[in-house]
Amino acid sequence: MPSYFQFVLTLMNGLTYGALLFVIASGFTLVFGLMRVLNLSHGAIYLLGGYVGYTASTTVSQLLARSVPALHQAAGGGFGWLLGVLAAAVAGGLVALVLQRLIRNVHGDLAQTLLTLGLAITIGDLCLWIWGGLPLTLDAPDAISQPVRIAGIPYPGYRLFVIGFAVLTGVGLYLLLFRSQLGRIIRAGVDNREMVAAVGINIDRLFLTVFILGGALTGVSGAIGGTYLAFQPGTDFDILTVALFVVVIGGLGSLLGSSVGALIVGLIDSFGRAYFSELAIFLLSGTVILVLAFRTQGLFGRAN
Amino acid sequence: MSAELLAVDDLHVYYGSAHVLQGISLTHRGGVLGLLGRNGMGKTTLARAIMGLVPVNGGTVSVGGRAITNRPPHRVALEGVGYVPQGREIFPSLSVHEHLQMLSGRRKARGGDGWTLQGVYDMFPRLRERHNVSAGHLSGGEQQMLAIGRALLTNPSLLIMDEPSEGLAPVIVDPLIDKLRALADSGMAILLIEQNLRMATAVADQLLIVSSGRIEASVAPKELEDDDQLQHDLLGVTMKA
Amino acid sequence: MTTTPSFSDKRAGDAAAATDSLHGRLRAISARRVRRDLLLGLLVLVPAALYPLVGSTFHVQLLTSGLITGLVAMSFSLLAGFSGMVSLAQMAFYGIAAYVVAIGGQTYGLPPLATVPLGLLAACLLAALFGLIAVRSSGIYFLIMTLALLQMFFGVAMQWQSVTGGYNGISGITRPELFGLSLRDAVPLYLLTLAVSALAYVGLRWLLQTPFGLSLQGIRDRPERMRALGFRVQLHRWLLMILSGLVAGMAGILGVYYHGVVSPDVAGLTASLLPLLAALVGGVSSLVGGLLGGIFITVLISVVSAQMQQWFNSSHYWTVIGIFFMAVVIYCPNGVFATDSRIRVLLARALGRRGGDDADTAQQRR
Repeated sequence: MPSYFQFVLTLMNGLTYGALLFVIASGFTLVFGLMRVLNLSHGAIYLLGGYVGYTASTTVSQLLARSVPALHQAAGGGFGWLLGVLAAAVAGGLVALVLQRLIRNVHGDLAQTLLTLGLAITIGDLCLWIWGGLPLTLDAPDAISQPVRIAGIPYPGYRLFVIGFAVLTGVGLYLLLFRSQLGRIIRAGVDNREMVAAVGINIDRLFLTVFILGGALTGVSGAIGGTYLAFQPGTDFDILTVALFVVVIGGLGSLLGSSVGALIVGLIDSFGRAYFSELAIFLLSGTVILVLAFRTQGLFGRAN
Repeated sequence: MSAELLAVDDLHVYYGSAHVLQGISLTHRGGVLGLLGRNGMGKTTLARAIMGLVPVNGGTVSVGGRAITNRPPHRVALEGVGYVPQGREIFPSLSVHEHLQMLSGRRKARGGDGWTLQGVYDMFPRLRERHNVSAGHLSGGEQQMLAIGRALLTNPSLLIMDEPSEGLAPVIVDPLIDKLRALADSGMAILLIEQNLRMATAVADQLLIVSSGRIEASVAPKELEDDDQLQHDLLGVTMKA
Repeated sequence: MTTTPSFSDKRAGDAAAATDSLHGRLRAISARRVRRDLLLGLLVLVPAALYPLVGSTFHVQLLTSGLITGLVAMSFSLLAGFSGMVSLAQMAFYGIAAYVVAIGGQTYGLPPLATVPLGLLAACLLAALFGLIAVRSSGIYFLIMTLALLQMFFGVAMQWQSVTGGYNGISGITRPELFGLSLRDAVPLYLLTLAVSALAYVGLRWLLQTPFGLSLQGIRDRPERMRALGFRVQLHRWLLMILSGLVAGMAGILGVYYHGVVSPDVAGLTASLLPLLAALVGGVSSLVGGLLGGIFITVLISVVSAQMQQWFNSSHYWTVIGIFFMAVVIYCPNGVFATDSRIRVLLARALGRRGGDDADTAQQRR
């Protein structure tokens, strides 16, 4: 019976991690698809989202506990956490704004990508400077952290929330891309930036919008992910790594690819760690190499 | 005479060290102005330079009296220049309807009602039949209709068309000529870039011959059509095979 | 129909003749340049070798570290500048050579005579493996592939604890003796590093003016043309990738002896930024630029970290280096000394000379 228990738990963990990875990777792939810029500061924005979310949520919770204890009790820490997530979105959006303004001065995909590397290093070091090197997590609100029984096994409610959030994000992005005016323009821009400009659309503003959207989503994922996975210096590189693996497996620029890639990476990571311990990384690397060797554009990517 | 719709003055464009446009000047006051010339003579570069898609190294471009030299493409489009590029450049990820939906109502026409989605469908009924089809799956002629419809929805006062007949079978070129003629008769000013002598002479009111980045001559279509020797001198080709 | 074969034969013959004469001319030009550069090189090398007589141990170590970074930068420029492949994986080649030397020496007690060649071999093999995957793509996709491969190397180094020592890596690597001189002293290690750098540079310069090197540059500028002329483009790229792996591997071995420790951090983002920055500062189309850039960056970091300590009582010099990196990408994408470098333009203007025109035309050319 313990093996059944372990299997279900590993499966659930893999799904949860995959769900988080999908949210992380969707911003990454959206920006790449439109602008052909690989945002290497993506992991750093995730980390910053975690830190900002942590500071905002703990500060608000403390203030609330001191001034209106009854409300704080009733909300079960929900206010602080929610504000933390919002603050993370703002922080991520702001960094994206700065990055886009910088990138406008640089020509060529490669130089633009290198610029994001410089920003990644700067943000990573600034975070270390401000928040120090200790691992941190945000406190989940009581309302969404009660254990839920799944297939007879109690599972942390917050992790189910993460899965739900990822599904909502996916649906939201789908509606945005395929059912809205902005989405039509974004998809047209992915096909042919020049012609989008030539029919009177300000491509610079479009890039800014998408960049900020991607940055805010990444910041949010930092706060939401940082509520169940501890973050610390180095998390930025780890997150960039898995995000890249997800989009390389799934295909750059494809939302469907991101979701499939995220599930594959999440499950391999979870089962690898549970059943193969230190060799798990070979499982993941091997998958990436296999995909790259036989399908350079990823499972759902367009040939470049 | 009405105000200049388009004025290009002594335009120079370089690609690296190649001097592609070597001082082109032209004015467009309405009707259909044709630019005729062989491949590689700088016709497409001229269109792209007007649209702001390639940097201009010297000279000026103005639309309706307002300078647009080296303005970003979307500003040029908002000044009322519609662009039907060479190769059509439709968006393969969008359906026909999405192409038109994306642009309808974005830019108001200067006076009058302006183009609507339905107006484009009325002009090209074929597009209405194919409205749910992904643009990447359209035939060349259908793509050309879509590219024209897309440009019309920006409510241009001047339409630049770069080789609309390229790669189309003669049986498709003929109705296209009729459509362009009808468009011109409705008052749309067109700058028509062509290699196809038949199309250019059938649609244009006046023809400019471009060679090696310069305007070589200005002729009436009728004159060129009837004079094989002139065709040969200016273009190195004749209509008779 | 019968005329077609002879026609194409003639064309192929013409093309071959054209490339032959082009090769000949280019060769003559580059041979002249090589002679000039060798002379210049001696003028630099002799004072550099004599530097320890006047410099402090600290400065000698700084130069050693700078040259090591410079070697990796050179391996980067070799790919980026001479075949247009922007690789982020160079520190993986550095890393595997360092790990092989460390594991061979510490875990298995092998002598450097065995571990050093093994380390270089490992770097070449890894580069060959990465190359098989990456050379099929180009531009931004090549960069993505190499980054993914770098991250795989990082992940393996971090998680394969029983072999690599995990997060802490392997430490306590002692420097061997060479010609009776212990490399434990700063000066012999410096001289060795200098000699390796100079040899690698001269070797690569020689290689780039051979037909192999010239066709590489042809492939960079006109891949389709070269393919049409019958050159095996991917094979050339793959061989160049292995070569760059070898150079980065040399740096890795010098690095592991210099630091005495190797950990997954060698393949982290920050460590990978350094040679990139060095190559960018020196100009990616120049090999010697990478070496000079390496020294420049190492000295810069030393100065910045000292100043950060003094002004802010902070050890966070990476913030400054990251900003500096962005500034280089924005203002001097072709190197600080390139004609279109805004620093150079500003200097020229300050000196009352015309530099702006050069810069403008260079911008247009891109």
